[in-house]
Amino acid sequence: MTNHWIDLKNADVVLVIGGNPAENHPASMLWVNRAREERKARLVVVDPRLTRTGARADLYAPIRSGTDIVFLGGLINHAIQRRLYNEEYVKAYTNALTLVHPQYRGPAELNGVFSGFDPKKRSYNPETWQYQTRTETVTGKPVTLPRMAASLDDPQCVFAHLKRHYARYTPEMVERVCGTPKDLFLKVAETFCATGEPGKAGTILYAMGQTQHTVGTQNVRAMAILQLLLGNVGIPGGGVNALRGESNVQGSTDMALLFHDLPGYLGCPTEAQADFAKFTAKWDTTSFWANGPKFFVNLMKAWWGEAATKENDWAYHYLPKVGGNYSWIPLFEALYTGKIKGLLAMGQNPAVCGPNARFERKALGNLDWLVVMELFETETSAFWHAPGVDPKTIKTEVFLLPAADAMQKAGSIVTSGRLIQWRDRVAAPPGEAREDIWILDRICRTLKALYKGSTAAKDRPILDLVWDYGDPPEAGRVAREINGFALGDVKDKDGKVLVEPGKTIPGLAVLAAAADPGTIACGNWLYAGYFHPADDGTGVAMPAAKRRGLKDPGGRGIYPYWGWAWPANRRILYNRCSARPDGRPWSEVMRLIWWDAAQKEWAGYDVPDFPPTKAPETRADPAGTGLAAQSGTDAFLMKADGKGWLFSPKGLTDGPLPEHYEPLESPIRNPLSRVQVNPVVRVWETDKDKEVGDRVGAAEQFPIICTTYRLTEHFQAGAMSRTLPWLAETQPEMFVEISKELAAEKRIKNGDRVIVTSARGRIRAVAMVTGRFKPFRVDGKLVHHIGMPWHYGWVGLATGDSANDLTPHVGDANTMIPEYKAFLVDLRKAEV
Amino acid sequence: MNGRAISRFTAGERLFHWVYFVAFLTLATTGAFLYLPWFSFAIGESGETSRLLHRLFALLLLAVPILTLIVSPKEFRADLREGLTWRAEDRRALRVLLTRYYWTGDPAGLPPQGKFTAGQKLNIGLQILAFAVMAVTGLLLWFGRGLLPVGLLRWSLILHGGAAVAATCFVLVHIYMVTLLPMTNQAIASMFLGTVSEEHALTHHPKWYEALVRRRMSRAERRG
Amino acid sequence: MAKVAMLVDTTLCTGCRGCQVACKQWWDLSAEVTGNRGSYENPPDLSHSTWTRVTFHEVEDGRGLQWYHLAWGCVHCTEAACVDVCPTAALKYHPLGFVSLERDLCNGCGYCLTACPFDIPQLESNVLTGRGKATKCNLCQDRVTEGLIPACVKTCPPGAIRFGDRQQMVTLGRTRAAALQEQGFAEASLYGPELLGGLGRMFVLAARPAKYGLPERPTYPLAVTLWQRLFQPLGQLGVLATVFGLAANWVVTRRLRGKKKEEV
Repeated sequence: MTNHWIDLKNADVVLVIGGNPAENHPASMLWVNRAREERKARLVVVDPRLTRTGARADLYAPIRSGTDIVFLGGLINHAIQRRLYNEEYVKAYTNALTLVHPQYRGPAELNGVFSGFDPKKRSYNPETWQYQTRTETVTGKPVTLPRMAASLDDPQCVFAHLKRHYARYTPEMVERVCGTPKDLFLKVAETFCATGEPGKAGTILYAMGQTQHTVGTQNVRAMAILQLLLGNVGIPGGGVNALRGESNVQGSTDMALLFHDLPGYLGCPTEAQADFAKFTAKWDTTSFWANGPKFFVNLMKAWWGEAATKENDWAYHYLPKVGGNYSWIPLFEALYTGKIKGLLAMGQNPAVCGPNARFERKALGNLDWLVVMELFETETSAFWHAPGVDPKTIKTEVFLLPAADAMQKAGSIVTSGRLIQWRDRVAAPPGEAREDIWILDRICRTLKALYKGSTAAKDRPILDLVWDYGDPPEAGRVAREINGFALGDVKDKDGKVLVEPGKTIPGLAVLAAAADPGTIACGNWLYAGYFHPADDGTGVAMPAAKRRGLKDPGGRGIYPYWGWAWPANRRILYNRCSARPDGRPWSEVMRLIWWDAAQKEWAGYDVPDFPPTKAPETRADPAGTGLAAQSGTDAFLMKADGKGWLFSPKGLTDGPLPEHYEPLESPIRNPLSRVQVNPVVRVWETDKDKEVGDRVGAAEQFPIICTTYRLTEHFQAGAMSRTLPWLAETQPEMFVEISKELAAEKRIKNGDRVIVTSARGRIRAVAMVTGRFKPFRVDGKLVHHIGMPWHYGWVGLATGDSANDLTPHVGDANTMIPEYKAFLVDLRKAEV
Repeated sequence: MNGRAISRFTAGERLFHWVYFVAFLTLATTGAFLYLPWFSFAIGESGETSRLLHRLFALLLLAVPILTLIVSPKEFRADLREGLTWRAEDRRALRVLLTRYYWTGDPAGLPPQGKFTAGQKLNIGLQILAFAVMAVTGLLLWFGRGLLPVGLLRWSLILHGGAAVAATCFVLVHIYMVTLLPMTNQAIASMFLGTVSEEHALTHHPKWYEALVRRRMSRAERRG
Repeated sequence: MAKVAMLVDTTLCTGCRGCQVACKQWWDLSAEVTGNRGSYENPPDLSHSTWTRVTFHEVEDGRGLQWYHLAWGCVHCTEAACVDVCPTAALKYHPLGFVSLERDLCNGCGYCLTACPFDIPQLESNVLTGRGKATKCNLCQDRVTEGLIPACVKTCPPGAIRFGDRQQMVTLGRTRAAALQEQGFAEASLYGPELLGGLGRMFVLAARPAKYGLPERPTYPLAVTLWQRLFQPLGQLGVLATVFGLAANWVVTRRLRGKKKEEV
C-alpha cells in the first residue's frame, strides 16, 4: 500500500477493482464505511460478479476476468480526453514531460507489440523505451540528463505517448472487451475521474484480482498511471493500495522470502553481477538508491559479521548468484522432473494452493523427502495417502513437524500499510509443537555442526554465519539485528559519533549518514528504527513496534505513536505530493504535510517522504549524488529522475505501458491487436499430451470463463479454517457460483452437484445458482462466467475438491505469479 | 336400611376409573406448574421432571381407554353408550338435580335415573370432551413443534389449557360430590367395592335397579 | 438505569459473519454439521447452538440485483410475548432494556417458541422426554451488565453493529435512514424503534423489511394476549369459582339437612 488501512477513511471515492475487501479484508471496510458515513464517499466496485463488497457499493460494474487493462486504460483515456487529470501535479511530479526515445513505437503502430521485440527469444530489448538524454558539463563533470518537453503537447513526450496509446481504449472498446455496458463504464469513469480535481482524493484497492494474471504487473502499472494522472498518489485518501491477505505477507516480502530478492528489496546478485562493483552499479546514483551499497554492506555485516570486510568486498562471494527463475511454477516443474530432491514446506499447502494442483501433487511424489511444518495435517503432508493414491507408489518420506500458531509465539507482524506491530506470546504451543524460530534455529545449528572443521572455501558462508539468538532463540534478538545496531562507533563524514557500539540504530538516516557502513549491522534498512526505543506519545519509551499510543495529531488517522511503519515511521508514501509544488497543501481540509517557510522545514502530521529541510524551490545539482541531484519538487525520491513514472523506461519485461492481452485461455480473439497473449510469458509444456500435464484448453472444448477466489470464512489453503468447526459450519463444502442463465441452459438447479472440467482436471462441487453472476456479451459473443473458491481439499472438516486442479501453469511475465484468475472450463450436472 | 349389596361396577371398570383418576391428578398437578406461574416447582430441573411426568401420565391416560376396551370391551362400551345417552328425563333430572336436589336433598320431581344419574352423565360427557381436546392438542404440542405453523401451536396451547381447567373443575365437583355431599357421598364406596347398597340403588338409580332386578328374575324364571 | 440497544446498519454490513462466530466463541456453542445448500447462509436456521446468524437475501428490485445481509438474532422486544408466557421467569425484562435468559431456570416448556412473533427462541430438546433448554441471544447479558459490549458488536469488522444508549441508537438510526433516503434509497428506514414497544435490536434498512426477510408489521400474537390476559385469569377464576360454589353448597346442604333432622 502506498497509503494505509485507516487512511481509507479520507477518500472521496473508493474504487475496488480486482479485490474484494469485504470478503478478504473485512476490517478494511470499517474505514471505507467511515468515509461513506462521514464524507459521503462513494464506493465503486468492478468485479466479474456481485461480491460482498459489491453488495455494499454505490456503483457496481461487471467486468470479464482478465480485462482490467482495458477497463483501467478506458479510465486513463477518459481522464485524458476530458482533461480531468490534475495538470499541475502531472507536470511537476510525473515524467509526463520527459521525452521518449525517438524510435519508440507502441502496440498501436506495431500490431500489438512494443518496439524492441525479439519474436525468437520472446523478449524485449528496452533500448527504445529510454528517455531522450542530453549531456551537460556541470562543474567540470559531464552529466547525462533526460530531455524535457516544454508542454504536454510535444508529440515525443511521455504524456503524448500515453494519450496516443490509450486513445484506442474507448468506452466502446471497454464494452466490447470487458463486457461492461458502456453507460455503466462511463458512470464509473465520471465518478472516479472526478477525483482529478485538486483537493479530492480517490483510492484504488486491489488484490490478487489484479496480480494473478499473465499481465498482472501491468495491471498494477495501469492503476498507478491512473492515480498519477489524477494526482491521487501521496495524498491522504488516495494511493494504489494492494490489500495483502496474510497477516504478515508484507513482512515476508520485505524480508525477501522470494527467490530474487534480499531484505529491503536490495535484489539478489545475479550471475551477470559477478563481483561487488558490478552488483552495486545497478543502483541509481541520482536517487535515494545511491545509498543502496551502504544498505547492502549493513546487511552483509549482520549476516557475516567480522567475516565481511571491506577487503573481501563484504563477503559478496558468500552470496549465491541467481541464474534463473526459481519462483513457484519453475520450482514445481523442477520437482516434477526430479531435479529437486527435498522440500521444506512452512505454513504452505501446495497440494491445494498451487496452480495445476494435480500436476504439483504428482511432483511432490518425486521428492525423496518432504518436511511440512504446520498446525494441522494438510493435503500436502497427507498427499501420499490422498483419495485414489496408493501409498505404496509414493517413495517420498514425509515428516510433519507440529508448529506453533501466531498467538503462541512472539514477533512482529507487518500489515499491508507497512505498519509493524510487535506481539507477545500469549499461550504456550500444545504438546511438541514448536515455534518456527525454534525449528529454524535447530536446523541452522545442526548445519553448522555438520560443517564444523571444514576447510573448504565453499563452506565458509555456513561456518561464518552470525547466529546468536540465544537458546531457545528469542525473536527480540532477531528483531534487534533487523533493526540494526552499531558494531563500532558509527561516525558521520565529519567524524561525529552518531551511535555508540552495541546501541540500536535510531533510523535509516543514520545508515545513510554513516561514513563507514562496516560499523553497522542491519538486517533490513527499511526497518531501521523499528525496534529502537521511541516515545509512545505519553513520554514512555519502548521499542517502536511495541508502541500503542493513541494520539492522532491532525485527525488524519496517522496515529504516529502506534507501532511503527517502514520507512522511517512514514504512513503515506510519496507524501511530498500531498502539497503543491510550491509547498502549500492542495486542500486545507485534507492537508497532510506542507512547507513551513518560517521554520524552513516540512511540517505536518506524517513523517515527510522528503528531506525534512529541503525547500520547494531547491534546484537540483546535476553533478550531485543521491538526493542532491534532485530538486525541491522531485517527490519520488526512489526514482533516478525523482518523478512518478507514467511511462516505465526500465524495470519491466513486457513493455513501458500496460497493453491488453487476453489471458492464456480466453473465449475470444484479442480485439485490440493481433497478439493474443502477453508475448513474453513463458508457457510450460511438460507432459502436455498426458492426462496430468501442462495442458492448455481451447474455447471450443471449454467455452466458459472461470475465476477463483477466497471466502471470508476460510483462510488460504484451509489448514487454519477448514479444521475449525465454527468456520467449517459456515462454508462446509466446495461450491461453484453460476448464473441463472447458465443454470437454465444446463438444466441445473440450485444445490445440484456439478462437474467442472478444464484441460488440467475435473472437480465436483455444489452449484450455487445466483443472479450475482451474469453472462457477458464480449466481442459480439455471449460468454458464460463462473467462479469458485479455492480453499478446499480432502483433509479437515470442511472438504471438497480443489479449484486449483483446474488452473493453468502459467504466470505473469514479470513476477511469475500464476494466472489463477482467468481460465476456461466446461460444466455439467453430475449424474449422482 | 337394607344392607344388601348390589353389584354396580366390575373390577375392570373400577381399575379404569382409578388409573384414570391418578393419571388425571398427576397431569393436572404437573400441568398446573406450567399454567400457574407462581409454582416454583416448575423451575429448571424439577420443571423438566414435572414435564416428563406430564408426558408419562399423558401416555397412561391415553392408554387407559384403549386397555379397558381390550380388557372388558362389553362393559366399557355399554357404560359409554349409557353415559352418553341423554333422554328427555335426563334433561329434566339434571334441572332438578342442579336446582334443588344437590342443595336440599329433596328428590321431589326427580325422574327415576338409570345406571348413571344426569349429574354423572354430565361429568362423563364433559370429561370425554376435555379428554379428546387435550389428547389432540397435547400430541400436537408434543410432536408438532417445528413441523406445524406456530399459530396452530399457539391455539393448541390455549385449547389444551382451557380444556384442562374445565376438566379440573368437573373433577373437583365430582370429588366433592362423592366425598362430602351428603346426598351422594355413598357413591364412592361403589368405586372401591364395586357394589352399592340396595337403598342407594333404589334412590339414585331406580331404573337401573329395576332393570337389574327384572333381568335377574327373568333369569331365575328361565332357570326355574 | 438507562436502556441500551443494538443498532445493526445493514448498509454497512458486509455479511462476513464475524458476529455469528464471535457469538459461538463467547458462549462456547457447538458447531453444527452443515452442507452447502446453494447459498452462503449457514447454519440453515437459528438453533440451540446458533443464536446469531447472518441471512443473505438476493433481491432483484428497481435498482438492479441487490444482495442484502442481515445480522439476525433476538430483537429484544419491550413488549415481549416470550417473557409474558414464560412460567419460570427464565426469560425476564432486564432493567437495561433487553430480554435476559437464565438457562438454569428454564424448564424447556417451549412456550416462548410459540409466542415469539420473530421465531427466535430455539429449544435444544429431547422430543420424547421434552427435556431441554430454550436458547436465544441474551445480548451478552454477562458482558453488558459488567459494562462491556456484546461479543458480536465487539468483533464486527466493518463497524455495522453499534451498541449503546437506546435513545442515542434510535437517533443515530433515524439519522442514517434519513441520509440514505437523501442518497436515493427511497425505501430506507429504521426498523424497530416503535415495534412491540420498541426493539432492543434495531436495523437500518436500505429497502423494505420484507426484502431482508423481516416481517413488515410484527405484532404481539393475539393468541398470547388472549391466553395471558383472558384465558389464564379466567381459568384461575373458574377453579376458584368452582371451589367457592362447592363450599357454598356444603354450607347450604349442611344447614338444610340439619333443619330436616330437627324436623324429624
